[in-house]
Amino acid sequence: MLSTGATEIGTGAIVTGVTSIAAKELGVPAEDIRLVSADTGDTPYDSGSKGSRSLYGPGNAVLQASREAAKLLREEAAEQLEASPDDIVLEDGSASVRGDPSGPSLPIAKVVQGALNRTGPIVGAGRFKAPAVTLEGSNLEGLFFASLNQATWGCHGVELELDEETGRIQVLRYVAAHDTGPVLNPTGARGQIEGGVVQGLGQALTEVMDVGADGVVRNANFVDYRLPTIVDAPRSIKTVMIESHPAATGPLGVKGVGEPPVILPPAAGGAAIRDLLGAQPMRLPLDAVNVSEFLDTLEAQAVVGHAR
Amino acid sequence: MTWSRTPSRPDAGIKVTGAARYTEDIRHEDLLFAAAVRSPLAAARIIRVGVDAARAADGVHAVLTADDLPDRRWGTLIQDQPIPARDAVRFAGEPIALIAAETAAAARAAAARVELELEPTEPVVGIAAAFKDGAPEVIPGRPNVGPVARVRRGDVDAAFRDATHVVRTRIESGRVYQGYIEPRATLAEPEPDGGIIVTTTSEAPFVVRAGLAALLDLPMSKVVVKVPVLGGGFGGKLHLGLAPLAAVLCQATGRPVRIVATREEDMHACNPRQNSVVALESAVDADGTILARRSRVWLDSGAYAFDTPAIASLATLLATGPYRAPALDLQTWPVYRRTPARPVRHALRPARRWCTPTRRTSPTSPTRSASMPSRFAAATFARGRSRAIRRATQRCRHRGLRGRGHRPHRAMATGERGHVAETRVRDRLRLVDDDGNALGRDRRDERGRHGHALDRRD
Repeated sequence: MLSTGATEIGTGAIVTGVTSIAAKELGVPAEDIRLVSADTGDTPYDSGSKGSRSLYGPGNAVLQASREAAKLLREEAAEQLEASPDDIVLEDGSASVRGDPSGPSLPIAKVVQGALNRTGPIVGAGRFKAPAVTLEGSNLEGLFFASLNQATWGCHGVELELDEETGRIQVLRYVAAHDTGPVLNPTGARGQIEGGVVQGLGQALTEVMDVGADGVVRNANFVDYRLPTIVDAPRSIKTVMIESHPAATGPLGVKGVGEPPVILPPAAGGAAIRDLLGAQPMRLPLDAVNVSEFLDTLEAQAVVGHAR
Repeated sequence: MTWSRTPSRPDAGIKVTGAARYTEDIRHEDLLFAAAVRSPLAAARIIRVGVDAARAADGVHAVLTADDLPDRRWGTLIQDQPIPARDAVRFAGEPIALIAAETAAAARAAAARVELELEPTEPVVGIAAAFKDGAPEVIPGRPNVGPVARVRRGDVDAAFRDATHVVRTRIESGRVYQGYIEPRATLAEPEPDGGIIVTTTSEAPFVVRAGLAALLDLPMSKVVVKVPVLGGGFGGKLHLGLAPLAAVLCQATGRPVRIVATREEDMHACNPRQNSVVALESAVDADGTILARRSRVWLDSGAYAFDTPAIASLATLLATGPYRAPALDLQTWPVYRRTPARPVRHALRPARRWCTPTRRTSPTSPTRSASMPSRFAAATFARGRSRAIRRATQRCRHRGLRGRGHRPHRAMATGERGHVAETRVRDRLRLVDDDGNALGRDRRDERGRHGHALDRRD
């Protein structure tokens, strides 16, 4: 059983991410692990699924706990297999002796049963706190916290089409590269990046809560608040994951990828507009209204410039 | 093949078949259904809340206003938000009365019978409005602009004095809704020992436990918070959400109480990404090395402090990078106004990052900026129709039709008109073409006004 206070919010970071870390360390299939999470009555503390930290923070704690449990498993298996604990390999649900593929092996369940009889249950615990940011020589004022998780750098490129008559933008192709470090789950990570790009393009191009002069939100529904649909999504999103730079403090070198892909689409879109028009609009979102106002501004400047 | 190491999603089957049980799906024999009466106004004094008719309605078990509850407030760093509004409302959608009834329909019917007597006051809308001399204080006794979060290093003034170029960027971002598919919901169940079990749509159940324990004056051992399958959050469910509402109704009735927000309620009384104004100045030398940066950021906190002071710290910390600068003066302020606001899948970063590429690519060299408009005049907008169509688009906003406004304009989507641009945003913030050559205005000039322009009609 894996017990963590972390919450699965739909990204897969808990149900597959941290679970696969435990599975790898314990040498058991992930589907054999019962996950209990996000329950203040039954699970240890977690500060929340935020800041791209679910795989990073809880992942580090799970790694530590799993290694502690794996150490107990190896010690018990070493007793039963008459070998050194350092030579015990935990893999495919059983314990065997390294370098002796034809030798005896024990199912993990049998190792656990032996431990129950001999020394006690196999339990490991782990905890983690992200290291504080160092801001040497800086004068800090009014900062409520000073720690950030391991950064995941990124680089996005976009090809888009601008309708000069309406100010509307259509994104044609997109490429998103991220310095992810080792990837535990390529399909999951790609899903996070593709979803993040589409969400980021929504924020770049159409999404804004329209607050009237009376302070009341005027588009409190999904008809008038324009989330991107499949029609708005780029025809292709190419994701590139650079695995060659593992995180110094991430579990098994991994980094979070929940938020990074959402950050760049507005910047990439704005830079593409700049490439088209020679000037960059300074108000988000780049919806038809803001872009057409921007086009008017440029046109007015052009008239003035021409008169000179 | 990378596919072989891909673990399957153990929750995929139940989600695809609809068997997954979200907060709203949890059934309970004695369940009461809750409804909130919410303020239609962004700013008002509460003169009277008439609850007699609602209390007398069929199937109603409790109708609560601030008068029925102790004055305890919640919030991440500053506890300033009441459960139902007390004396005044500070955003449109703020709950004023809470109802628990036998059925959801009975709760809604009773909500319609609550009489609200509100005296409108001046709403403070927009970051600029909060700064105005004589702007009303959103929360009496507290300035509308909160304390600064600031990082300083080196001699910034000297660096700006000696710089070859100074690049200034000022951007504005709007409020963005998280757009999670499952609206917020909470089920609160009483425990025989006086404790409470709360099942809720949360991304941070331990935060909810601490907040509820303080609000209900219970030890944390008597508050259990559980999160079942969750339909997304994107930072919108990091806080107490509807849990305080369900919890006080549960305590008042001694029965399990469930509250589920409609999409409209969720969007009126949610916690969208703060809209912001980000002003960034960089002093650079002749080869483009950054010598110093100044940033000033204003974050719209909404009506209550919530976690905007923490987000202000984050905005300041993020401005220390990603580029090395020997001298820094970075400042962020939370600004209070009449709408709630909180973080979205990376609080503030998109707005901040938006600032970045313009820094290198919009030098304020007078010769360049003067040459741009005339080129524009010569080449752009030959078609007289453009302006008229754009005017129509803009009118849509003024009529409050923003969302629908741009749907009919399909010209671009069908590829009839328009041009294609290619741009890459690199870590070092250069615009480059396919061969890796720097893309500046000069190169663009060589290739005509649209750089990689490509007429889609061909």
